[in-house]
Amino acid sequence: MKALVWCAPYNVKVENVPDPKILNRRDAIVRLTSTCICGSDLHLYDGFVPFLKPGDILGHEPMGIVEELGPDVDRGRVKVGDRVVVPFPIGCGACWFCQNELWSCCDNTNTKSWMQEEMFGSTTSGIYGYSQLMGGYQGGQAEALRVPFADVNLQVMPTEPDDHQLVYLSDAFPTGYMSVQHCNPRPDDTIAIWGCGPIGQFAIRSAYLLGAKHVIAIDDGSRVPERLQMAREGGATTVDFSDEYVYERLLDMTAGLGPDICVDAVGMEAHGYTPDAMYDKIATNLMLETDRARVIRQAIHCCRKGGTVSIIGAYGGFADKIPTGALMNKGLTIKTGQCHVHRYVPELLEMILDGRIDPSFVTTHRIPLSQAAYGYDIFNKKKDGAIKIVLDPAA
Amino acid sequence: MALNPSTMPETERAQYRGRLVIEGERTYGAHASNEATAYIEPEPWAQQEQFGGENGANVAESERWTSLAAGAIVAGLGLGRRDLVGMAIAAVGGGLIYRGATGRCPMYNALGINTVTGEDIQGDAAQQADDGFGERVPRQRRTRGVRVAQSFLVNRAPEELYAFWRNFENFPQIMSHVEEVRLLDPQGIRSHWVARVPAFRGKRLEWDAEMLEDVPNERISWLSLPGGSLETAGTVTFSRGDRGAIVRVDMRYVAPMGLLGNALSRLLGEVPTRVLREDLRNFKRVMELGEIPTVVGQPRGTCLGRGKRQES
Repeated sequence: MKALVWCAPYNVKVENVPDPKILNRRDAIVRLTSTCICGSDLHLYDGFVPFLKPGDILGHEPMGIVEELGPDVDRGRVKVGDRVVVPFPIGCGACWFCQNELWSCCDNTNTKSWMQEEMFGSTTSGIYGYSQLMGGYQGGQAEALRVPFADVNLQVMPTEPDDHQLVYLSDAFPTGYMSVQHCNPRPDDTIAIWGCGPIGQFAIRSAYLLGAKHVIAIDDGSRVPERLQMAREGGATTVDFSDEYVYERLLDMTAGLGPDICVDAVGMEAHGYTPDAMYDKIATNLMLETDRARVIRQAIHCCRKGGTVSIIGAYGGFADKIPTGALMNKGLTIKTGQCHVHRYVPELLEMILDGRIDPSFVTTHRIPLSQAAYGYDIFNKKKDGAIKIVLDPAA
Repeated sequence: MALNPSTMPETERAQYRGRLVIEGERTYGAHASNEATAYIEPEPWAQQEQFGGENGANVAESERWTSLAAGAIVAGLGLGRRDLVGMAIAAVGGGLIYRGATGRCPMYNALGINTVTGEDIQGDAAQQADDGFGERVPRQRRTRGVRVAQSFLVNRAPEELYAFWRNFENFPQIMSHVEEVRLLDPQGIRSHWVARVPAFRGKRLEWDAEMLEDVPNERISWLSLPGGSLETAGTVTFSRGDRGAIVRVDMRYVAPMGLLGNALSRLLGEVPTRVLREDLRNFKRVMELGEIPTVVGQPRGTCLGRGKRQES
């Protein structure tokens, strides 16, 4: 089959690789029909995440049709021929964490637990195509994917809405939704969202679905004006940090209080024009830190006293100069986590079927899997208005 | 069959004297189990070595042979260089040969280590502990070898955990290094163990173990018998916590080649706590899921010649 393979930073290629096989008794093989490039795949693409090996297959946002099931899969939950979305964290369904709906914290699915315990102190779930540190599982930018513990991981979909309405249930939509939902927003809260990539776009729409009235979106209008435009279409007031002082604008818009909920939908490769952003650039190049925490700093600085900072953009290592003084003295709450996708799929699917949201708004490109390397290039360089790229494995 | 020293006939107790230590258990946060735990001490090396402590020797016999062989190689390499650096290397080799030939190691002496009697720097003969027979044994024995203790939460009943563990023939399923376990009697009191250690280039280790304590659904204690290539002793306990069963292993072992072997294996990546945690994690996975998730055999790319086509 064809698959997108990581060879070196900025070097990915589509290769012919062997077909995936059933390796554990509750595995399934899914023939993929749509599979996306995630913003967090760019952290792998440019070498920001260590622990990738040349030859690793990337991708963790797929959907498709069940082709084969292992002998112990519960046929009452999933059958051959079912149309399924694959959540990016791999759960086992049996451990204390899965049973408490903390799916991305699953105790059992990471095959490299000892590595993560050295890095993070604990092990989190395996993730498809997300480096050895996340278990070394085959990624979903391929024609077919092996899914472990298929009866708890595969989310069976109705036949009707097209792939672009459903495929984002694998990651982007629930991730954006959780970033606001886990802050328990109240209707009078102002929610500020840093980063207008796909996660930020879903965070904006989710904030309104959760009853918010005031949503502010922040990004770089000199590089990605199309993303600010899409945020405005979603109902947000936008702040262009290449042209405006974010802190001043946010205070001005919130009666001098600051936003009640500040969402970091950017992650470890934040850039900016402030002195601390330049510090991060130098420090990461000198290997003094691995993550650029500009957005976390600014969110803490801007957040209302007693408010909540939500970190949903991906971080992988260590960051410098976190303003602990502001964090503590302002009495802030921090909410974080890789999305517990399985928990959110039923309610979000219902919203899609009810017509309360059509997630396909975020799709800007659909290209054949064979052109995936081109997709990474334009997505990384923000060329051709790329916001969300869906790969078609059948084309 | 519970093996409890306090209920044993005197004649039977004698053979375990000094080998079983009962100690109050520490408490660990929400998952505390306040039970006392029992674990068995390895035989002191002094009983196995014929020349214990004579002539001021402080290096055990197996380690002396290793030292002698390593010294000869290092000295040979050094002399072959015929320069100043070579002289220095040869001197190191000479030191190892002296250490092997005489059994006296100045460094061990300075550190207070004695692999003949099993004393090390932490051993403080003044500190005494109850041996479970109402007698006092020197605490130094309890610091021999590597001690590791870890616990895991398992979402199953303690009874199921005990049942799996009690059947020692299950162990190759969960322990990365254990290849085979054979019961030497129908009750499994004695068993024969075969392991391979990758860090020692696949060296084969064999030993017999004896179960010294078996409290159904609660606790199993074991001890390796003299003559094997590994010394090990320990206790596993199963208890019911608020969030599921808790399995806890408290064990110690002395690797082949004694302290040198322990240090070597650590250098080669066999961090004892990590090895125990991975084995216990596999136990948890088998109990919770019936199998261990794997990625071996899944496809991967070659990047035009670099990398492999399949995960191994």
